[in-house]
Amino acid sequence: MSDEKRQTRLLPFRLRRAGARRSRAVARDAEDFGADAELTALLRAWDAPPPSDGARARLLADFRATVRPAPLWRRAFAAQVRVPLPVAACAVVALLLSPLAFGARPWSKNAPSSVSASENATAERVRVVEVPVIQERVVTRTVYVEKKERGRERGVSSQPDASARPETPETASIKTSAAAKTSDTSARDEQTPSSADASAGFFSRVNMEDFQPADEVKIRVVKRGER
Amino acid sequence: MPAPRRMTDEKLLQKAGRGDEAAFLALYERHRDTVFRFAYRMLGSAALAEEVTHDCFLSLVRRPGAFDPARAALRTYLYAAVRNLSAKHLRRHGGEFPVEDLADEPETEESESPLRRLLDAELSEEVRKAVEALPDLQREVVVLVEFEELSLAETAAVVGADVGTVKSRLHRARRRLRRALQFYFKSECGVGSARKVGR
Repeated sequence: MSDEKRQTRLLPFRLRRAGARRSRAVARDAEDFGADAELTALLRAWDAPPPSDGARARLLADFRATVRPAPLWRRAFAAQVRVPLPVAACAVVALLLSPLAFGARPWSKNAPSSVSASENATAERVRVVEVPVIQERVVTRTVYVEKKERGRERGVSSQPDASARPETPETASIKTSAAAKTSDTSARDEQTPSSADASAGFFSRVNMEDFQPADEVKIRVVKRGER
Repeated sequence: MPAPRRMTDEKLLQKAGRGDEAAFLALYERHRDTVFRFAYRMLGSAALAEEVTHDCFLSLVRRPGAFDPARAALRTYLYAAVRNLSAKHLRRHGGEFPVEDLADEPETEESESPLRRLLDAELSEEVRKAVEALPDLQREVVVLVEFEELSLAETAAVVGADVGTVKSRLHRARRRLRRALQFYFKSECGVGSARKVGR
């Protein structure tokens, strides 16, 4: 028998076998992924109870609370803050150490006082020296000048002295005010006229320091040639 | 203005965000059972499921921007929210649930015979144990496909995986369930299932 005839004869069997294989595969697929009626019927024996009646009311109350939130003060009392553990630990440590920090605060206040004490110590070391205070005082000097001499001097000198100009023969005195910054000695030097003036005889050297005016004055007239 | 029951989810959500109680309640009534059932089967506790359902619906109002209608339907979004909240609860509590939940187990009708009720309760408990014994990723796929009747594409959108991954998880989960519940299958147990005995 030729091979071709043999294949032709076996064809119906092969087709039947292929069909059977396909139907078995379909049945297996249906068993695996489709409706496993027997198993499903068995599983349905496990019924679930209905939810309780209170569930609906409870859900409705929570729904109202969610949609219309409570007042701010009530939410503030019920507020929760989630804090990481390291932050919470740091906060607790800071809270525990804060009384110690407050307790140590007077000690820290003493620090500036010690500084002020040292400042006081340095202040005590400064020596107080009394310095005489220069007070201003007025020195009056009286200069007696002969009238004639003075008039002659005026005629001689081409340029009259500026300080002597206001001096009139009637007053015959010059009052000079000077600052008393200088000592008594220097004041005496100031009173001393220049050596040229003394030699000319215009000024008499008078020290009026201990001058006491006489209580009585006796007038005696001396005539010429009577002495 | 149409009644809240005729409005779309998106419209109701908008109105609820503005403080409309009726719209929010309409939204809650529309999706409450679905959300609660999924949460219950994921957590195995009615009290925790109620809590998750509560948080899930409130999150719609508290974070209105989280839901994008262009990306998915509201039901898909709610499933995903429940899934995330359930995962959070399971991580926090490790699958523990309060003792008082035992009273919340589904009750059978009084008209049924005591033997039938006993057998149904036993089967229900076995199924619950088998589903809870599944890994989280397989359990959520089984619950969404087998209990909530979501398509593979919808399930993939909820769990954030592609369809192939969902198929693989579903296949493994079914194999485990078949192994765990083999005595209740007619085809695998010649003695007969509990249902058969009960009837």
